[in-house]
Amino acid sequence: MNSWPGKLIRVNLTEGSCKVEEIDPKLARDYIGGRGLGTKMFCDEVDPNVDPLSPENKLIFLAGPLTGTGAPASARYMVITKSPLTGTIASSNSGGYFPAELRFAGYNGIIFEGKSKEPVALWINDDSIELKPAKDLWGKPTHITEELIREKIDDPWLAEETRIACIGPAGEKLSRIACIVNDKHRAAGRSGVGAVMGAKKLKAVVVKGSKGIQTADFDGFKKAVRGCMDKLKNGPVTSEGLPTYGTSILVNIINECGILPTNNFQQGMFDKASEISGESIAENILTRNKGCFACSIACARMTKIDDPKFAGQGEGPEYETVELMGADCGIDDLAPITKANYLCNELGMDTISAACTVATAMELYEKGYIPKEEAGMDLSFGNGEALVQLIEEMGWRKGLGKIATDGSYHLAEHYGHPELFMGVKKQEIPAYDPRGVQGMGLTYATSNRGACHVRGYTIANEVLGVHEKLDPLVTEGKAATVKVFQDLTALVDSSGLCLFVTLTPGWGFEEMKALIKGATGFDYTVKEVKDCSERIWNLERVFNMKAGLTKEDDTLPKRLLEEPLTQGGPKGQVCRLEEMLPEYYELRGWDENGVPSDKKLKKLGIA
Amino acid sequence: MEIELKLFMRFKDYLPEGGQKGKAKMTLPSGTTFEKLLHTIGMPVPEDKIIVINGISHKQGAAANGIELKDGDTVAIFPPIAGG
Repeated sequence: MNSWPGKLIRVNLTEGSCKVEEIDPKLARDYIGGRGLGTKMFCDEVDPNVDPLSPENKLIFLAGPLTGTGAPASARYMVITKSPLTGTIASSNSGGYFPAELRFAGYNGIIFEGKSKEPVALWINDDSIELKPAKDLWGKPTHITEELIREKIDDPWLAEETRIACIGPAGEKLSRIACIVNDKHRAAGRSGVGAVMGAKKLKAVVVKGSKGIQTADFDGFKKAVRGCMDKLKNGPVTSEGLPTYGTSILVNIINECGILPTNNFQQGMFDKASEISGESIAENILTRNKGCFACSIACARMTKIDDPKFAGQGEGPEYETVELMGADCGIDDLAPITKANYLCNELGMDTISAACTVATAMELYEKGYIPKEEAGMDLSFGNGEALVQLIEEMGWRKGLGKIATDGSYHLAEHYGHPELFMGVKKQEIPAYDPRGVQGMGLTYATSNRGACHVRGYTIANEVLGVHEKLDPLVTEGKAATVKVFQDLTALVDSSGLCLFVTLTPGWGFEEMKALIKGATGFDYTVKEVKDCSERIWNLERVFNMKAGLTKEDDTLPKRLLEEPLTQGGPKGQVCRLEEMLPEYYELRGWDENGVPSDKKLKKLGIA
Repeated sequence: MEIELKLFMRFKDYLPEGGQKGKAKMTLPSGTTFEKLLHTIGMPVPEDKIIVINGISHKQGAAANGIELKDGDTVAIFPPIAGG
């Protein structure tokens, strides 16, 4: 029997009840799965004006039709909720092994509603679904939580094969940048989804499954997988660049192009970039490479720090983390950066938002806006010990971390200097300065979950020339480029594949259609899957508008719009967002205020 | 004229004599094109690469190959990479 759309588990935490439901095939066809289908379910059940940390907000874990199927990089699931950081729809993606295991247990998703009185964990073992007390786990970091859960399982083999997603102290303490960590090192990172889990007093989800995943058209699916595997094997990025050096390989080239955020986006070049590069990681701290479920790319890096001040081991740092904890904090030493990365995973915080918050804190401190006695440490740019100390304080909500743990928007506001917040819709900007890569500025400004690089990674074309090479400094044509990247990403995020498959030349809607069609049995055409992608993007937009966001939120920090870069190729450049935004709205079928037209919504079947 | 050449990852193998840590100062006849530079260091012209000249990334192929280098230019060449 076909495993898609299949079943999901509805957990009412107020009542302590769990029941199994069928997923509506019509919705599954129109919204694919993962990010799209999860957002549709969420929008149908939750008021857009809900307080994100109230029991009325819901939290949805949803796999895609390709998750766990063995299609290349089919390791991903999505967490959908209303974000306590941005007030927008949140959909955070993670890989590892937990998402596939959920499907092996026979479920494609879980909807959590209400709020438990006491900490609980959801235990799933095939047909057995049970909420168990988790008071003993509350207050524990994620890696210790995993170990304590495994100790509760008598059979050591079963314990080893069990997959866990949980929150750390940051989520429990309702940090607005808290994430949900699975398999110890992978995270549904952005937009504070961990705080929603914490507000519901849900500590962990524990899954063991022994069932197979059936695809609707096995022969068609197998053929599509074979074609895609060939593409991955022949793609230079997915066969060489990422497997050899991981994502941090980008540090040197992004620096060379003058768009490496440095000292809270005050500059775009870092003179010590090579110290924190992928090459430096490989030479100094790498222990082994690691991959997620069914992934031949294996971009993850397992590392170890021997320096007694920062000793530890774990996974990372990835590019975003090493760049933002490194150059953007003025730090050139991998030891404190990597330690801070481990702490984020253990305490359960998004590394991008956490790093940017430290960078903002450092600028506030250097400009005298955070009094020295309040900082409790020397927060000068370049101080690795301060990075580690502040991250730890944020994870436990203590010291300066009491404020900083809610992200840099709240920190900058608190100290009266919102202009030092480098983000969009209250979410921090990742590690590419849009002044030197114009399309990314439009991507950040229009992302439905606040500033984000994985909602339309135009770096692939504007800088790296993956599919075609575009001039990063021109704005002409970028609205169309951003739209295509955003739509394709919405499809990949909904399918259960990792976005990195799209770093393969020639991997687009056609390839996605073939895989999804084989898995689901839905007789999609390329046009139909493109319509699904647009439907997903527009539904997110509609939710945000109902939640009170407007055109005014589609913008960038003043620094990036008005203060030119001072070095390198993009010297003298600002992000010329105003040249791209009106065209983008028009291409989307939205009015001049960025509101989707009735005609557009009707055509997509949303209205 | 003198340029600074920066080579990354496996391309470091093409670093001219005297270069260190992937970087080399090179003295070239004026009017040297990017393609001529590739010939000089022995890097195959058709090989996939990312080209950054003076901080601006260029499309590989005929247009980049024909770029005439100037005194003081910085030329960085990377194998195909992406991620993030």
